[in-house]
Amino acid sequence: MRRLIRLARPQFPRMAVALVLIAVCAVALLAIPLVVKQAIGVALRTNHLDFPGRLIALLLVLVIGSALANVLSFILMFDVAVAISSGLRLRYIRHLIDLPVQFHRSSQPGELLDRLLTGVVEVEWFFQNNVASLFAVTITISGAAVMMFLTSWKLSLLVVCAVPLLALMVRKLFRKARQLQERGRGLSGRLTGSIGALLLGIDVVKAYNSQDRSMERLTRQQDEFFLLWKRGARFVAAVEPVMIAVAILLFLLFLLFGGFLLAG
Amino acid sequence: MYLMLLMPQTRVIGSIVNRWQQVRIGLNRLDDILELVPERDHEDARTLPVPVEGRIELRDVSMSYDNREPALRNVSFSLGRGERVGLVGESGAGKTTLFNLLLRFYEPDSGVITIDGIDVRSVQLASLRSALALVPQDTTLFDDTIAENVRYARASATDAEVEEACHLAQISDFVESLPDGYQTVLSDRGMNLSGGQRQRLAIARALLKKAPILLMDEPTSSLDAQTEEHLRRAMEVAMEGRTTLIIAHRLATVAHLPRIIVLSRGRILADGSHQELLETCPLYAEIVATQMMSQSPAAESAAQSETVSTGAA
Repeated sequence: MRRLIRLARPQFPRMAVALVLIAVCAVALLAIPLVVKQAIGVALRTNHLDFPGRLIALLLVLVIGSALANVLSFILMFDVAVAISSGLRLRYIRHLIDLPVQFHRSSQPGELLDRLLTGVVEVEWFFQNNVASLFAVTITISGAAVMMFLTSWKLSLLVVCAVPLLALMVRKLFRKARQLQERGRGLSGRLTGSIGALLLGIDVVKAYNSQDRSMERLTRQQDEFFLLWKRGARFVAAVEPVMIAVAILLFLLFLLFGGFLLAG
Repeated sequence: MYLMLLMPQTRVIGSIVNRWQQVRIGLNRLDDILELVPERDHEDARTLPVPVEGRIELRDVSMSYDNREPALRNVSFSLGRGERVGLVGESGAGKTTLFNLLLRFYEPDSGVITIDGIDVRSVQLASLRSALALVPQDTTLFDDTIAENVRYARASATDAEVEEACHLAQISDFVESLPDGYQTVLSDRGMNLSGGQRQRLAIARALLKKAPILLMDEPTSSLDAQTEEHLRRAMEVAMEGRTTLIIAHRLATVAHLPRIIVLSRGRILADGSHQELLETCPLYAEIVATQMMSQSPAAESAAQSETVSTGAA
């Protein structure tokens, strides 16, 4: 996370604006049902559907405001993601250029490009799509936690004790998944490197009629990569339901404890 | 109720954590490279005093790649200002390694290399390399105009200087015959150019640099006999006042030079003029004999048929 923060630091002002806009959007969306509820209340009280203009105007402001905030935050986060990934890409290329000739003579350009493409795309995607969700989740969880503490500090204490245990388990499981995926990425890099070398030496491949042999070699490498990649993906697929099951168990436990508190 | 609000977030968190894993893997793979130490100057590195005279000296230089058999063993020789020397020897004799060391692409295991009496290890890389112009065996051309490809050697060069360098390298007639002339874009990295045309562009690039030391690795390997002759005359002018080291497999490229160094298995076997070497160095005499045999009329005509194509850029 520290690395991402370091990468994002020059973009903090734009990110801050985008996050404020996301919060505005969330608040606006939360307020819409309240306004509608109030409008219906007014209608029921007065027994006709003549909503006050003030409420309709507020509703319009909220809908248009949340839509605008949403669009602006998306554009800003897109710009942030592009700026961060461009900076990272240029830094990597500059570093490659500055590395000794000795290094380049013992490396495969395709493998180096694979690192660049996959790494930068992941970072760009994360900033473009996941930072906003992360922010929204953080707001929801923090809000819920505060409200829970105000409602029942005993229940909150139970949650506070259980969450680190859950986090520890998740961490352990994901570390295993990451190791598998990391090895998979390494093999994917080697595969891209081999494809690059093959294309650079295409005249030799054709002159020696070794198209089929080259394909066999690449297929072997690809199978090796997919085998590991599949193992990693299956592990991740299995981890997610386990996480949810544990969360449900904890949820039931909290409900029971909450019920016990109420009964008490 | 608030607990219920937290429940759906589990899935969102799961998907973010999963994506975060991918980001971590991606960043780790980038960091593997970003943590490697780049080429850098020593703290007390200095620039070569200007103007660089171009005197080169190697004292007991040895070097091996990745702890394999030494590519150079205790090599010592010196070149005076403006001296022109040919390097010959079988493949793997250490000729290209000498260039790698002069350009500091690699560091020697032992021994000292000096330029104008200054140890190259104590010189800033940019300063050292600005004193050397390289014509490599395989020419690298970039996706840019011909003019910019030549200007790669010296960004501040004027159009007239670029054209002059191309003229000296005997490539100006070809470039000017193209519809866009010097503004022709080599979008295919110049792959449609013949080997000779590519090589002459590389020579134009080196000439434009106006460096006091010229390093040429088989500069005429892709040229037909007629162009080679033209080029040789142009090179004579270009080499004037410049220290020049030329690696050649074709002895015709270097036989006219006043001095030739014969390398074998990383050692200097002989050092002298073409005539002296013929008399004193059996390996050199053998190479000459072999090349004379291969340049029999049949072989010569085969070589001539590989003439420069005029394929469009």
